Amino acid sequence: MMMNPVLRRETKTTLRNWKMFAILTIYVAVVSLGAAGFIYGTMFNSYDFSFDPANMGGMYVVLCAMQMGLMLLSAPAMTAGTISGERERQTLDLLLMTKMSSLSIVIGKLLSSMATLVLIMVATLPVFAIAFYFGGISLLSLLIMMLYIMVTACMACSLSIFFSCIFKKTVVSMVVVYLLIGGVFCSGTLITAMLQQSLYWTMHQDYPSLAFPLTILVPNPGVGFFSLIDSQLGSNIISNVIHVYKNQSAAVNTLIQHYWILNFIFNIVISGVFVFLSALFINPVKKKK
Amino acid sequence: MLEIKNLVKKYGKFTAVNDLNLTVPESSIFGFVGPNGAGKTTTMKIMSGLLKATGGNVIIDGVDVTKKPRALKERIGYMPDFFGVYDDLKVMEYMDFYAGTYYIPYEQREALINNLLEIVDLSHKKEDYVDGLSRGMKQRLCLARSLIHDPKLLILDEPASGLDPRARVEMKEILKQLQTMGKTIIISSHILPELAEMCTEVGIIDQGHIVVQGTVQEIMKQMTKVRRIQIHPLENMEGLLKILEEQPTVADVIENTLDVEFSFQGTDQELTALLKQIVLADIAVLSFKEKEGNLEEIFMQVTGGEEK
Repeated sequence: MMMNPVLRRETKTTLRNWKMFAILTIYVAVVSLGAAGFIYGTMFNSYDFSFDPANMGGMYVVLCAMQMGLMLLSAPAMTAGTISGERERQTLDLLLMTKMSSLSIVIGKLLSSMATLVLIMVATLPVFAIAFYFGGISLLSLLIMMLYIMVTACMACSLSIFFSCIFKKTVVSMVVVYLLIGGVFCSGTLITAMLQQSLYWTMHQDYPSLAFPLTILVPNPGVGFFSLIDSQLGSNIISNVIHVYKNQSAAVNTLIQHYWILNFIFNIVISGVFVFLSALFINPVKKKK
Repeated sequence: MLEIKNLVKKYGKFTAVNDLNLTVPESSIFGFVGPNGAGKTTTMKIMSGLLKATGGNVIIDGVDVTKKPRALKERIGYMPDFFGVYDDLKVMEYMDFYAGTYYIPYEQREALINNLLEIVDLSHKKEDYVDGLSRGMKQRLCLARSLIHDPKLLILDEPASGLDPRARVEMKEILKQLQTMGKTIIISSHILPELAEMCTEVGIIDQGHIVVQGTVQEIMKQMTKVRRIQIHPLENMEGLLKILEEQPTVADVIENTLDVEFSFQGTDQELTALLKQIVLADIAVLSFKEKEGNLEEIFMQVTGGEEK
């Protein structure tokens, strides 16, 4: 079976570039500093300046949150120039003239970005191994977390590729993706959900239904992430955010416990939809001009 | 090989290609000439499947471009007027990448690429980075790239632009070699004389439609309304001038040091009668010929003489 030519070329040129190794080094250094900072912080707060392995759950949360945040920052930066870069370099027409379908080109671009992100993530695994040294986190939990972060990054990449097809400038597509993920998916949905709950309480002096917040927060990667943390560590972060004040039905409780799965599915669907839309947008005969 | 019927391309209210009709026979080098903005690149992009036509049909090797874009990709090699290269790849890797995009099996690639690099005279550069190649070499590399899948039709948009005279000559030689290999080549330029000597046929496009099409000789004959005749007498210039002055079909007589030039507005029979009259008047004629028109002048005449 022949490897996707775009993926083959991009992985070759990416790994040949010194910038990739610089990014890897900086990334691992930042995550390592996060781990060291957490350990130092907990030791500093202890009576005898020692580290209590019971705090390992906290370290896991810090490392995963850093990984998630860095991935969401890195994915658009790496992918927003994939199509617009080809256009700026005047190689897009040559690529579209080949026998590769638009979908293969887009998938090649997506996979090459994902391959780089996987490499970065794998490079940080030794830092995560510290959490295993003290125990408390299962390997399966870590793998599920990594998979969740990769799927979220894939969503960010596919959005970036789509906007890269639409906008001529790489910077514009990058800014739009950051605004969409940070401003709409993360902050926008959370603020709307919280506002709705506060307004309902002010107007009716009663607890609102959870239907609205549970629906609007589905695209929120932050809520998805902390929901997964809740399910892995048994914490109640999400319940506090969406104000589950009164007893809910068993179905709602189950939904809240596994809320991250909805976000996981949402990310997969969005990735697929935007990859497909990207393929449509770069298809020359579909263009108006 | 190529047949374009009533092709139209509109951008809003602006019509870039207006009812263009064109036929290009197999194994020919067809020159697509026109001033900047005449619609050459738009037409070529439509032929290559990179742009959707507003109306009309483009049939290449029996395949309608708009209906079977996949089949078209196998038949066409396209070289745009402005193109980029992946600077971070070596020449061999660059060609290998494009071989991959045409799904050419790995084991066939090396021999194929070596062969193509030999045709464009870049064998000695195959381990060099594309970034380090000169403009002419990049043009030749792009030409080799467009041949990677052995297309029947090559569409080359201003391949000689920006090249120095030596690189232009090399490019012409490569194109002639490709023609002998059975390729049909459509090549565009805004300079008619540049294409005249290598093209089997030329089409002049202006304001989105073909103004005139044929061999360069045919076009010149068609566009030259007044024939310029040149006579070189061995002696008796005065006698020759006197005869010419008496002719109602002769005008604008210019006496040069050795010959006489004049405009002739008669039939071929009247021209031969004039020659006969001169010879019978005992004037020794060393040469009697029709002057070839100036290609630049014809181009200016056909296209209205200004950039659109």
